[in-house]
Order: sequence, then structure tokens, then C-alpha cells
Amino acid sequence: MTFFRHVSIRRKQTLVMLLTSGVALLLACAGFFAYDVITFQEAMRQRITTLADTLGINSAGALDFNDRKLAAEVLSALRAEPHISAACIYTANGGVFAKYPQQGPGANFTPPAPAPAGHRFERNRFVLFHPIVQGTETLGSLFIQSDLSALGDRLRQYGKIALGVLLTAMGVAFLLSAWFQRFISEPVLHLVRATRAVTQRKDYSVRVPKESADELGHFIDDFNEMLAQIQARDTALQQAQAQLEERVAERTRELSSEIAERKRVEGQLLQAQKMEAIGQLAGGVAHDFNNILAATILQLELVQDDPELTGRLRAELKEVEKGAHKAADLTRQLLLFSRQQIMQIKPLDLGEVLTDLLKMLRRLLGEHIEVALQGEPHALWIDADASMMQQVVMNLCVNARDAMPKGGRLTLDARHITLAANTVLANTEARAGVFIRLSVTDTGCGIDAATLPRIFEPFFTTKEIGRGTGMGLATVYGIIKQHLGWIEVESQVGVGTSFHIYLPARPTAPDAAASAPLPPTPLGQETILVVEDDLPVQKLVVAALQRLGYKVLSANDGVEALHRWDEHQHEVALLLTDMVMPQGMTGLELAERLRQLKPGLKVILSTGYSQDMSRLSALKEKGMTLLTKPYEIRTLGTIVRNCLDQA
Amino acid sequence: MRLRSIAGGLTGLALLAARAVAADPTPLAEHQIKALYLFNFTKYVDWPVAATNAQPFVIGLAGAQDVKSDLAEIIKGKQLQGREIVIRPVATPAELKGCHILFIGDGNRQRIGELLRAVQGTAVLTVGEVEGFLTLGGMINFTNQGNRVKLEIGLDNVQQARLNMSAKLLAVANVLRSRPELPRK
Repeated sequence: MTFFRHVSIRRKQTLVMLLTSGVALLLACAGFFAYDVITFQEAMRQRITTLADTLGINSAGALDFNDRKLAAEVLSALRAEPHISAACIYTANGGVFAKYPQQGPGANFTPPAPAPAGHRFERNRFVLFHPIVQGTETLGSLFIQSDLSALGDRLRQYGKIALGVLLTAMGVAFLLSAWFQRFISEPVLHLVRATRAVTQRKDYSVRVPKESADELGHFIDDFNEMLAQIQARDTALQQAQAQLEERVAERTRELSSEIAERKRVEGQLLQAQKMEAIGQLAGGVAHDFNNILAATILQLELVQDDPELTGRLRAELKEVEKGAHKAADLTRQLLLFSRQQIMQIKPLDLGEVLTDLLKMLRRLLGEHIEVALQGEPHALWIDADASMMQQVVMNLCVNARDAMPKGGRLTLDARHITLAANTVLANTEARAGVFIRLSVTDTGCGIDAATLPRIFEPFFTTKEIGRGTGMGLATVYGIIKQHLGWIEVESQVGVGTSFHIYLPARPTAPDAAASAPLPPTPLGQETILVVEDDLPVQKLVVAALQRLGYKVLSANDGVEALHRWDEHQHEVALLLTDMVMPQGMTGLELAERLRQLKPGLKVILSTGYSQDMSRLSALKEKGMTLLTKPYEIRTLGTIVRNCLDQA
Repeated sequence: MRLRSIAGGLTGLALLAARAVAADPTPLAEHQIKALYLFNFTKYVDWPVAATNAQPFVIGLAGAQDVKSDLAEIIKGKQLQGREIVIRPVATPAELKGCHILFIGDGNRQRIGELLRAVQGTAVLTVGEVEGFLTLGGMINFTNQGNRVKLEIGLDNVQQARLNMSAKLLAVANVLRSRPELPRK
């Protein structure tokens, strides 16, 4: 049975078929054999019984009259039946009366003891005991022995035939099974191959060919359906995996770009902080310088008015004054960088500014540089200081010229540009809104990456000593920052540089009145208390205000101012005080103190620091006005008058 | 090989058994045989219907005292076609009436002719044990050959008496007839 378990289905089927047909045939043959044997035996029994009857009848007389010779003669009739090998007649009392054969090879036969009537088949003979009856009287009995070799022969013959039939039938059965088995084993083998493909190659795309519509066919259909489902699931799984990987990769990219973005923003922030720090330092220095220079220049002017001055001294003083003016100019630029220059903000058409500057620029830059003006020519409205804008354009153009010593092309491009919220991430300073973008592009030497972060620092220059002040781009930076704009720089070494300046666009064009000529400086007669620790400035202010008709009281610090207040408190209509003062009291503290004494007191606070400008709104709430240093007398007069006229 | 030896053994046993029982029983005496034969004749001879109507079946014995007791012994309790078998001693022809078989013994030799004449033409089977019995008109005669009892049948006499005699009886007897005898099978 173990052997049978390992045999292939094909062989099993053949074996089963052969075994079945063989067993069936053997059974059939055995049945025929048995039937034949039984029929043969029955026939033999009947024939020999008939024979025995005949012999009995024929030998009755011989028995009755004790004629052994006659009995032997009767028996000798058996010669006609060659299969009868022996016979004998017994008398009624059991004695042997006659026997057969009397001559020949079987003559020495010894009759057996008489037995009751009956017959039996022995191994190779048939034995019959038969009574000899006359009427009702039993005269004796008869024994007949028949040779069964005929039956043996017959059975041997039958055996040969059966063997032949069996072999033929087995052969036919083998051929038939070989033919029929493909209807069962072929689909099974297909299934086996498919299953192997699935388990070994993970190939779910295989399908089993369906060749029949029986149970195997249904099974194959279901199997294929199962494979299809697995394949679909597999595909879905792979897709999901691919999607997941893609998402992970995407997220990684996002993260890395986010990290890069953050680093860049951090860098920009650092840069901005650095610029802010430098601005504060420069602003602080410039503020003091400015005051000193203002006083110096004023004093120089006064000295030069002295009629006693000799011609040589006058000329030397002129030189000193020239130097002071240069210093003042530098200081002004520093103040511009630190955004502490007072702006004359008014609606301005940048297109017009550029058009006006173009002729002068061409002259300034020289013939080897081609200047082109692009973009929108008009109506590029911004709120800006016109002179500052001119300075910005000039500084950028001069820089461009210096970057193109062998000539090149300078392109000025100004246009409206709208920035959406998501496009402004590139620059920390950028923000969404409508802007005027001024691009100044040259085809010069470009700026390398190491230099780029420092170009807006004051006194930073790549030009040889004496050619540039190092203030050009710093001034541009300060001005643009003060105009609430920003600058982006694109540069490629050997190709050129683009400066993109973004300034908030003014939504509408100004009405004509705004651009009308300035009215004359208003006059007044009120009493003004001026508090200024810087004496030359104090003198100038006092002189200017007196020229406008005002009555002026002056003090050097807060303490002195309080004394003045005590003396003239009923007269004072307005307090003009510097924000930063010695003696531990700021201008604001002084103003608030006096306001407590006289609530309706008008206050103007002057300052040289832009930081103080951030308090502008707070001051406005308190009804105080801020005046940014340095200022013109005209500006001073206007602001004082406006302040006094406020309700 | 083994089968054949077993078969041989069986045959041997059968032979031994046969030898053990094959011995003839004690032979019968002459008068016993004759009595038996007398009775046996009834099985091989058909009597005419008219004769058989008379009841019972009568076996007449004339001068055969030695046979009588044996025959009486044989027929005791036996019937012949539903008829009783009766033994009748016969001394005179008058006593022959109703006999079917008449045995005339050796001791009644002088009266054979008389008795045979008395039954001539009637259906009476006549049996004798004297030489020349057949020529006197008898039908069956017992003869002795060696120590065995043999039969002689005078077929002409049988046929004259309108008795039908079975061929089986003829087969065991020496049949004498006046007509030329047919060669025996």
C-alpha cells in the first residue's frame, strides 16, 4: 500500500483499471469454470447413472440365476465408454459377482467394498454405487468408476482460453485506460503544474486550461477564479506598497526641502539681524556725528560771515566747511542705511523717475554701456521720497557700471507685480500683495556666493581703496527698507547680476492737489518751550522759531525745563523736546509730567533714532507729535503750526 | 508430486479395503438354489391374463419335498403383483387346477409324462430336474454342471403354452428348440 501511495495518478488509474477488469474477468472465468464443472459433473452423473440402470437391468437375470459369465459379458459392454476405467457387480449379500475390465491394463483392479447407493467425485475419478433392482426386490449393486481426465483436459483447455481472454482483455483495458485517463489525469496534471508554478515561482498569472464540464471542470474554474483573486490582491498589495514607498519618498523630499528651506530662512534671518545690528550701530554713530556736524557747519557759516576774516583764512575755512559737508554727506548716507533719514513721502510715479533719470544716466555711465528701459513706462505709483528713489537708481547704476569695465548692457525694468501668499516663501522679507518691481540687470562680472551676503553692509566694498565709499548698496538697502520694500539679488559670476527691488504699489494715482506746490511756511506768535541738550541745535531751533514769529523759551534738560515751566507756565502753548536727554529724564517723561500740570499742552517730540518712530502710534494716541531729526526749518514750522492748530 | 503420492496412498487403502470384504459367502445347497430359481422364474415369465385372474398365485410341487421348505421360506411374506403366493403339493393331475408353476421333482420321475400331459395346452410353467424332461414336453429343466445348477429351456413348449418368457431368462439358460437355433449374441 505504501508503494501504491507513491505511484503517480496516471499509473494508479491504469493499475486500478487493470486490476478491476482483471478481477472481474477472473471472477467471470471462475464462474464459467464452476458452471462448467458442475454441468459436466451433472451430465456425467446422469449418463453414468443411466448406464448403471441399463447395466443393472441387463444383469438382473444373471444375478437371479447366478450367471457370472453373463454378468461379465454385460459389463464388457462398457468398452464403448473409454472413460470408464472400472466397474463391478455385487450380489445382494455384498459378494463381487462380476468385474470389468477382465483383460488389459486395468484387469488387476480390486473392487472396493460395496457401499450404499450414491456417487462422489474424487480427485480424478467419479465413483458411483447403484442398486440393481428387479421390481421391488434388490438383487445387488453396481459399482462404476469413471476417469475424470476428460474433465481435466477440458478444464485445461478452458484455462488456456481464459488466460488468452484475460491477457487480451488486460491489454485492451490498458489501452483504454491510457486513452481514458487523460480525461481525469490530464486536468489533474495541469492543476499540479499550475500549483507548482504558484508555489515555486509565485506566479499567480498561470491558469489551468479547462477541458471538461464535470466536477474537475468546475474545480478548475474555481481554482482559476481563486488564482485571479490572489493575483488581484497581490497586484493591489504591490500597488499599495509602491504608493507607500512613493509617499515616503515624497515626504522625505518634502522634509529635506523643508529642512533646506528652514536653513535658508535661518540664514536670511541671521542676515537680517546682522543688518539690523549694523544699522543700529551706524545709526547711533551717525546721529551724534550729525549733530556735531550740523553745529560745526552752522558755526562755520557764522564764522565766515565775520567781516574781519582774512582772505586766506576764509579760503581755509571754506576747505574745512567742504570737508564738513563731505562728512555730513557720509553721515547722511549712514543715516539713510540705518533708515533714520527723514523722508518726504509723497505719491510718486517710478516710471517718470526713471524716464527723467535716463538721459543723465546715459551720460554718467558712458558710451560703452548700453542702457535699456523696459517694462511699464507710466503709472507705477508708489509712496516714496523722490530724491531717495533717485539715489537708489543712481547707486545701482553706478554699481552696474563698475561691474562692467569693458562695457555691456544695463537694463532697467519696472512693472507691477502681484505676489501670492505661496510665492513669497522664498524670501523672509517678502510678503503678499501688489508691488512695483524695479529690476536693474547688468551683464557684468557677477558676484560670487561668498560675497553675496555682505554686499549691503556699510563700508563693505570690493573696489580698490578710494574708489568707492562702500556705502552705495548699504544706502539702497536702508532706503528700500524705510520704504517698506525689499531687495532680491540674482547673480552669476561672469554672466551678470540682477537687483530686484520690490516696493508697495500705491493702489490709486494721487489727485492733482497733492502734487501742487508747497504753501509758504506758516507763522505764529505763541510761546514755545524748546528743550534740547545739544546746544548748537538748540540755538538753531530757537533762532528758526523766533524768525517765524514765535516767542521761545529754551532749556538744556528736563530739570531746567521744569524751572522754565514754573516761571512761564501760563504762557507756554507748546513743548518741543528732544527724546533723549541727560539728567535721567526723557523727553516723553517730561511731556507727561507737564501734561499732568496742564492737560491740554501741545507736545512735539524730536528724535534722531528710528526706533523711537515705532512709538509713533502710541504718541499719536496721547496727542503728541513726533519730529524726526534732521529736519528743515520749513518742516519744523509746518509741524509746529499744525500741532498748535489741533483741537 | 506430493499429490500423486497421496493419490497413490489412497488407491492402496481402497485396495486393502476391497480385499477385506471381497470373499464370497457360503455357497447355497442345490435344493436351496432350485427353490430360489423357482421363485425367480415368476419375475421373467408372463402368464396370460385369463390364467392370472385366478387367485392366488400357485406353485405346484410334485415329488419335490427337499425344495418345499426352502421355497416356503423364500416366499414367506412375499406377493406377486398383489397376489398371494401359495405352494401346493401335487400328486394327481386333478390337483393341477389353478397352478401357475409346476415343479416335478426327481422323486416323481414315473409320473412326469402323466403330469405334463395333464397341463399341456394350459398356461402352466413346467419345471423339472430330470434329463430328457424337455423332450417329454417340459419347459425348464435344472441341470448340474460341476456343482453348479444350470437351466435348460424348451422354448417350443413354452410358446405352445402361450407363456411369455423374458429374454433375460433365456440369456442365462441353455435354450433348446426344434426349430433351428438363432446364434446367440
